[in-house]
Amino acid sequence: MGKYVVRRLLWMVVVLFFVSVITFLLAFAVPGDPAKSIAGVHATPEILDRIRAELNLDEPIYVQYGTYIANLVQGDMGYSYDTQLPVATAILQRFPATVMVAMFGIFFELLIGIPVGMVSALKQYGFRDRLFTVLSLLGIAAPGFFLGLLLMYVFAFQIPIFPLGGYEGWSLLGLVYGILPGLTIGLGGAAWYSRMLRSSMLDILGADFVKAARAKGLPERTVVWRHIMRNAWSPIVTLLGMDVGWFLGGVLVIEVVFSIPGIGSQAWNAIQTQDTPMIMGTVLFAAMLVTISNFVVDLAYTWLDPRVKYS
Amino acid sequence: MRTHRWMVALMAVLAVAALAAGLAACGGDSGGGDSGDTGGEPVQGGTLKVAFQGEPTELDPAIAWEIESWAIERLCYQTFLTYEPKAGEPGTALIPELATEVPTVENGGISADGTVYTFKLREGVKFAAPVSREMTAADFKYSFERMMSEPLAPATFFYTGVVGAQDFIDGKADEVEGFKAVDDYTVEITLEKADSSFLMAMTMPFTSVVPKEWVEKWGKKFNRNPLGTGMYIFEEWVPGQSITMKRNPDYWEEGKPYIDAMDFAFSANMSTALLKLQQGDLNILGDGIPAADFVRVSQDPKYKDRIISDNQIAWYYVFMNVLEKPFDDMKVRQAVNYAIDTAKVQKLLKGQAKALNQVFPAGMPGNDPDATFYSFDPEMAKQLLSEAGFPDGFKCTFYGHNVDPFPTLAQAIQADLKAVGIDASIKLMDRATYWDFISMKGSNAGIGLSDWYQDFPDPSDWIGPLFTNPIEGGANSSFWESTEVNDLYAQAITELDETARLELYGQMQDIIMEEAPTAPLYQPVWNGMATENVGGFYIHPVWIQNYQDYWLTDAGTPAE
Repeated sequence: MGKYVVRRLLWMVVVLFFVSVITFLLAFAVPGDPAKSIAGVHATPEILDRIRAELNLDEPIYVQYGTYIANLVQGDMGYSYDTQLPVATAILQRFPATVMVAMFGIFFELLIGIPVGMVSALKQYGFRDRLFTVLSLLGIAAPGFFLGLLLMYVFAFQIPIFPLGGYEGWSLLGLVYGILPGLTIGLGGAAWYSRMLRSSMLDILGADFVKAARAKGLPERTVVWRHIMRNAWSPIVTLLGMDVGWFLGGVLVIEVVFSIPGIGSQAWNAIQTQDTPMIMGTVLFAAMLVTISNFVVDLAYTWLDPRVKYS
Repeated sequence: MRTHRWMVALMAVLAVAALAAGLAACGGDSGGGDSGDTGGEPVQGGTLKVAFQGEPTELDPAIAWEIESWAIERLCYQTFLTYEPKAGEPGTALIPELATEVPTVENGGISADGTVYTFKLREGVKFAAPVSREMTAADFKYSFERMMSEPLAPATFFYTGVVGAQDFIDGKADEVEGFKAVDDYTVEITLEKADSSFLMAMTMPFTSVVPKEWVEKWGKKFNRNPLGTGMYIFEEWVPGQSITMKRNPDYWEEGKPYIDAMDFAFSANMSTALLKLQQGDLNILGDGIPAADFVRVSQDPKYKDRIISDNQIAWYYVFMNVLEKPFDDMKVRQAVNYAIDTAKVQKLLKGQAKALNQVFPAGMPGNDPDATFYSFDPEMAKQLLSEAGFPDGFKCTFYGHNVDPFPTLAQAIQADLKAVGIDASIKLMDRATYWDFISMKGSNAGIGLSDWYQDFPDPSDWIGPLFTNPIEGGANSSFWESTEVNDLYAQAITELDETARLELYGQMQDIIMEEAPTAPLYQPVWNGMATENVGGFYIHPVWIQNYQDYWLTDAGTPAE
């Protein structure tokens, strides 16, 4: 197990290295000039040259990349071209908002997805199963920006119980700002969870050990929780692991709809202004979160299912 | 399983509510209108809430150059001169800000040969607390040299005409020789040669006066901790969320500012910003009404009366690269001018545009309201194409970037060109890439879209960058040049007599329109919106939304 953990951690470094190379190359492959993004279209060629020199944009790409990695290894992610803020500071300033959205998103996904999936499986082809199937398809199909605006229109404008978007930091009152964005993610995401749980439970429902448990006269509650669910968790945990990494990297659409200053919109701004240090920072940060959460999920399997062993 | 009934109920409620909301949102009647009331006499007090879609990149006046940064910088920073706080052309007149008067030859502020400018400064103006000391001419000199030596400063080119400025930038001198603090209240600036647009360049926030001790105290973080002589004191910047400012109690101007506190919110989503405005949680849309929402908003009875529109001093146009065939032929370029229906473009951009058929937009001195250079005349266009040797037209690629309204414009123009036999295929690219692309000779872009927004309301800001000096990486995408225009331009720059100067720009416009390196399309219209209780709301031709001029009618005490 110890060896496995070390190997996985080393692989993470390799993955992040390749992500950094590809992102850097992509940022350069795009034609256009970061100096022009900074100075604007009115700037003269002399001004552009001066800015390029200041930001080392006049060096060959491998020198620029080398400098970047050398600094990164020492914990220096550089300065944003656009705002002149240290990239690490800028990301950490925005991360709490993203965490709040991700937390509520996952909460609502599970809160809605798991019960719905269970009912659908246990009452297969019943009215509720069919209703949930239709609603799930709607949930999957409805674009986040539409669902988000709708929820906000109803629950923040017509019935003003929630704020009209925004973010007020992590406080008891501030948490209210996370509910509607979380619900928007949750309604879309719950659909996936419920479908996944339904099919995984249906596979197990017909298994011999379930029949045996029922034959023993165990109450249905015990059969469901102790025998069926324990075996049906794995795909949910996999999905969860991917979602955690994905949401923490920032959900752009939700951030835009709800005016939340998170990492997603930060990355988007950086791409638009060709702010290479900021692009690199946000992409590497998101990639790191995804690899870590996948790693945690893999470790969680051994705990959820003692048959899984890594060596 | 006890939760399922509750779940079903919740989902059903959500679905029904969503449907109802959708239906409700579809309501509304048609109509449109412009209006604005001045809101009576100014009163003091209250908090003005403004929402922007973006966020200032930073607030260092030497560097920042975008609408959000300038709006906020101008609340705490000031410079020698500014513009009359009025809408339309009267708003392009210069007035003193920290200077006591606008220098002219008559008042001795400008030397007879137009090369020496003397600014007399107001006495007793203090920097805001905690600096709280008097601002003097030495501060202006420090601020100017600081800006010129800042490697990321994007606009030093406006000021390299000052004697010794280029040497200072190049590190050959340790001060700008031509920028002198004669005494505490007199700044004397010497130019290499007369420049009639120089005073306007001295209104730009780049020249704002900053206190040296404050800059040194904050170092690299100065760009997020502004402090100047302005009406407001910067209070807090919550990244991605807001900037708050409060009244400067030691401000020098009697009775100002009107509003006690300014609250700028960022990352605003337009649709929700409109809802907030309706609820009264927001007073002004910082970006105006976005093009995408304008039609909806202008037809909505709840909002339409709150819209205030005014022309922007800017233009959208088609450039034709004279280095590329067939646009090297003047007749082809004239044919394109005849082929494009600018009235159709105006209609297409519903409320966002005013058709333009000359180089200078309305509001820009030099604009001739009666001039018509090319009317929409497809037959004339065909005839000119025949004369140029293209009786059956030709094929070409029409370039643009992919951000609105360029794609819409490209399609409209493609259809107009098709009608006269020019078969243009559209090629759109990413915006940042595009500006770079059309500025390079090697791109071989023959024809495409461009736009230009004023730096200051002086025709030199159009002729200089767009119609002279066609260099790699510059803004003259037509790569067109004429010795005649070059001569007239050089003359106009040094001409101090306003009438004679505008006469020269009129001649330049005639030549440019005749040779047709561009085909004008329209000038954009700014559509602003504020709640009913915002008094004095107007659109300034240069600063667009000038927050320090507004007041809140329900705030309380009349301004002293």
